[in-house]
Amino acid sequence: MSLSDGYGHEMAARITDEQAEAILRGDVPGERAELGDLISRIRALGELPIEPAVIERHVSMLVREAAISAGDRRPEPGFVHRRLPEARNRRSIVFSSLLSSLLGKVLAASVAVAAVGGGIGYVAGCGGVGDVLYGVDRAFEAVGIGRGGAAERIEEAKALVAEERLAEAVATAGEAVEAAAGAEAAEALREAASTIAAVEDGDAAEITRERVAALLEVIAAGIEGDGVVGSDVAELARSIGRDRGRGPEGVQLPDQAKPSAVPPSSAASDVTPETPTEDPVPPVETTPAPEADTGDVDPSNPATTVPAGRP
Amino acid sequence: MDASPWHALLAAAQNGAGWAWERIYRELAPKVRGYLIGRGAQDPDGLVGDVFLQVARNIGTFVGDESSFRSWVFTIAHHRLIDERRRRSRRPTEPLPADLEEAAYGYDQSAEAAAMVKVATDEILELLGGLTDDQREVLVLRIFGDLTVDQVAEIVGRRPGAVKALQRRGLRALERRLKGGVPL
Repeated sequence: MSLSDGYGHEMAARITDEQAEAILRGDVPGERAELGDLISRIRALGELPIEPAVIERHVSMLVREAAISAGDRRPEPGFVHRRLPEARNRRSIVFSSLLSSLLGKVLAASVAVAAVGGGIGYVAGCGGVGDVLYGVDRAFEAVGIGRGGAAERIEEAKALVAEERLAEAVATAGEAVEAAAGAEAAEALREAASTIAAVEDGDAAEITRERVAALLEVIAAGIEGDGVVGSDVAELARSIGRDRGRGPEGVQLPDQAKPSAVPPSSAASDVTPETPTEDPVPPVETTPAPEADTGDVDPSNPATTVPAGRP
Repeated sequence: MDASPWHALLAAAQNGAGWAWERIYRELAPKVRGYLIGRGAQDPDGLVGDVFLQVARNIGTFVGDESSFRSWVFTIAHHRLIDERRRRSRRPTEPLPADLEEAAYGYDQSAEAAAMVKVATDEILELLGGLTDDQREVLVLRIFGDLTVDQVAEIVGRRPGAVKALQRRGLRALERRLKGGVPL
C-alpha cells in the first residue's frame, strides 16, 4: 500500500451512512467538497440534453408501441354478441346451479364460510356493473392471502379490474392461481380471458362480469379454506367459454362456433413479456441477478446468491 | 414530473398520448443513459432504446406512483444491461437490428459538445473503474435513478444494509482515488 493510499483510506474511513446520504443528495460537508464535486460531475452525465428531433422521432416510436400494446389489451373490434333475454336467464340458472354445487363443496371445508357465502349471495343478487366489480375486487383480495408472489399478481389484476379490463384480469388470475389450483385451472382461466376479450358492452358483457366475479369467489373460498379444486375452477371457467361460443338460443355464431375459434388474447403475454431477462411488471416480484459480491453479502440471504448462468 | 398529476400522466401514456411520452422520455431517458454509461455499457444509446421500448410495451400493466415508476424503469435498464453483457459474451460483435440502429439516440453531437462530453465521461469512467462492480452499480443507481436504498436493494437483490455498506465503501474508494491523485 502506498503512502497516498494509506492517507486516502484514513481520510475516507470516517464516512458514515448519514454522510453518504448527504453526499449523494448533494449536501456535502466542506471537508469532502472534492468528493461532492465528483458526484455532481457524475450526475451531470445524466443531464445531457437530447436533440429535439431525436425526442420527436423516439417519442413517436414509443407512442406507437404503447398504442399497439393498449390495442392488444382491448376487445377485438367489430364483434357484437347479442343474447335473447330468455337464453341469458336459462344459462344463468344452469351456471348458478353448477356454481352452487361447487361452492357448497368448497364452503363446507372453509373457515370463512359466512363471509364468502355472503359475498356470493351479494354477487348473484346485484345487477350494477360497479357492484359486480366490487365482488371481483374482493375475490382478488382473498386470492392474494398467504400466496406470496401471487399476491403481487393479484395487485396487478386489481388495477385491471378497476379499469374494467376483465379479460386481462382473468388472465392474470390464471397466472396467480396456477400454483394453488393447477395448470388445468390456469389454462381454463386463460381461455376464459380470451373469450371475455371478445365480449362487447351490453347484456353479454354484464353476465360475463357476474360469472367472473362468482368464479373468483370460488377460487378465493378455496384458498381461504382447504384448497382450490383445480377441476372445479376449470369447469366454471370453461362454462363461460361454452356459453360465449353459443349464440342466442344456442345458435352458433360465425367464427364463434367453439371457444377455441376465438383468437387467443394477447393479454397473458402482455403481462408476462417474453424477454431474455424477465422485466418487472410492478408489483410483480423481481429477482434480478446480483453481481459477484465483495464481502457485503449476507450469506443467509438467498437473494444474494448468484444464480447459475447469470453474469 | 409532479406528484399530483402523476396518475393522469400515467393513464395518458398507457393510452399512447404523445405529450405524456414526451414528458416521460425527456425526464428519464437522459438519466437512464447516464446510468448505462456509468455501468460501462458498450452501447448505451441502443440500450436506452431497448429500455424505453420495453417500458412502452408494458406500461399498461404498471401500477404505482412516480417513484415506483422510476424504479421500474431502472430495473428494466438493469436487466437490459445484464442481457447486453450476456450477448456480448456470446457474440462480441453482434450488430444491432436495423430498427434499433434507427432508434439509437443521437444526443447533441456538435464537435465541441461531443469533445467535452467525451473528456468528462472518460475521466468519470476512469474513477468509477476503481470501484468493484457492486459498488459501482449501487452508486450509479442512487445517483442517476435518484432511488432510495430500499429501491436499489430490490433492484440488485440485496439487503438494504448491504446496499448501504456498498455505497459507503464506494464513496470511500472514490475519495481514496481523488486523494491519490487521479485527476478530474
